[in-house]
Amino acid sequence: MKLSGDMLIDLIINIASIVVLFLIVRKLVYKPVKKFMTARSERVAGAEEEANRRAAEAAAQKEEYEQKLAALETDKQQAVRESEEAARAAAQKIIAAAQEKADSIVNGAQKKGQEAYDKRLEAGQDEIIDLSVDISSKLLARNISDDDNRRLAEEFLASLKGERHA
Amino acid sequence: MRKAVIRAAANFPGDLKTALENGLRETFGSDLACEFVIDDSVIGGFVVDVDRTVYDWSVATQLKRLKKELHK
Repeated sequence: MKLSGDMLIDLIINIASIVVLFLIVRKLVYKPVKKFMTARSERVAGAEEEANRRAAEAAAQKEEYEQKLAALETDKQQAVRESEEAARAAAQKIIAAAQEKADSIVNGAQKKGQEAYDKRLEAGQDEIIDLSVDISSKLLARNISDDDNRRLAEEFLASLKGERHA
Repeated sequence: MRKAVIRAAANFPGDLKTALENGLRETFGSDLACEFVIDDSVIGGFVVDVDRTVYDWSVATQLKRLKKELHK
């Protein structure tokens, strides 16, 4: 196809327009846009850096808290162990005191029981003695003879010899 | 006149009474009057009460002493 003069001029004008447009756009848009994009990239990088810094800080804090928690847990377990030991010791003390009291009560009761038994035994023995003497007096009252009285009178009068009351 | 009271659980025979009277008069004087009294509480033997002195030769008193000793 053969280009005519008009077409060639149009083509040249179009190409020139495109170049001029390109130059204009480059001047007016490219540099600001590039500046904007650079600033944006810098902002993004800054934000990323800040985020990394904060993440590192958070991780360090987290570790610190975890260490504190671990220490607290250790303290807590220690406190629990100490409380358990104290409770065990107190329970032992209470049991020992209760045992002592129970032993004392049992011994006291045994002693009282023995005393009561001894008292009853003594009372029983006294009763037997009284009964025996009463029975003896009744038997003697029935069986004392004149000869017995004579013997007593002889002993009495012999004991009087040597006394003088006249 | 002084008096002796002889308490006994039974009525003593005459010879025993005479022996006691004579023995008491030997000690306390011939003017001593003797009175015999029956007292069951004596049980056996006798108690002679003369000149504010009591001579206790009763079985009752011996039994009381025995009871006291056994209770110790």
